[in-house]
Amino acid sequence: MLTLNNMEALKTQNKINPYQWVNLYADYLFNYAIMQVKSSEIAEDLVQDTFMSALKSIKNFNGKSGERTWLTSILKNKIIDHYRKKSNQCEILINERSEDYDNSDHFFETEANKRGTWTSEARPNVWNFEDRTPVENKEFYEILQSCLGKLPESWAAVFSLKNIEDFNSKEICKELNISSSNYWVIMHRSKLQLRECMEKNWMNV
Amino acid sequence: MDCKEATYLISKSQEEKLTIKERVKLEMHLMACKFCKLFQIESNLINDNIAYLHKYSSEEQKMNLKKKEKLQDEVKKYLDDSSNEQ
Repeated sequence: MLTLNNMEALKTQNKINPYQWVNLYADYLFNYAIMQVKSSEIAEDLVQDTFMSALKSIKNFNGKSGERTWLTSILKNKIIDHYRKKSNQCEILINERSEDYDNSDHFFETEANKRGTWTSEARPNVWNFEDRTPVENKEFYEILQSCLGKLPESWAAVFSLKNIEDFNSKEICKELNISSSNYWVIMHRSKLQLRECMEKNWMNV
Repeated sequence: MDCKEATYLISKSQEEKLTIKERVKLEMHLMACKFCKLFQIESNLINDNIAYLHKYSSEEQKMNLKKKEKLQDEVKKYLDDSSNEQ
């Protein structure tokens, strides 16, 4: 349990001041969380959990990293837990052998003589970059963000984990308890959708 | 190899090295299929830039003020309670 004395000691040693946390870091952490989970209610809950866990483990704060870095690392774990719970509820699963994957999308033909080729509506078009290289282009990132937001949440979870912790595919499968073939199917579908969404929205601005 | 398989391998290749057999089959398909070639270029472009999303994300979103006040109260209560327990 945290006592006033060791609180004081921590404050002077590590320049830690939990009374200021909400003031200083709540917005930053909230913004970080909402990039990953999309719902502001969930993001608020995650920030609250983060502060509470931090208070309980305040003596583990070693002062080597800054307060904000330390709080962010706790938040990252909360986000991963959140997704892990979701995947345990089986929301993340799509079965590659299911009818869903084979037939209900509009990307590829299903008729016997041209099965697996692009449908005419889904064929990629040439992107005209010209003066709109994506690097340093704010618009590109805004549209990309909104396209990611259109993916089913469980698919977006996979992208998030990659970005949060630079997880590789094996680690993500382990964290989310999905099979590797399921992972690649999710990636395949997500990338087809993302590219299409970018073509529709970015190229037509 | 059809376009569905080719795009599957393209998306996989963005994260993992393909086997030699997969690479050869994919390259053969890409030589003949301009749509999959476009998919590869455009999807790689998206993939390469996803990591920078944080840096360029639109305006910072702020937490609801009432929630923040509530949170501040909770933190304060926790700290006050634990220092009273001495």
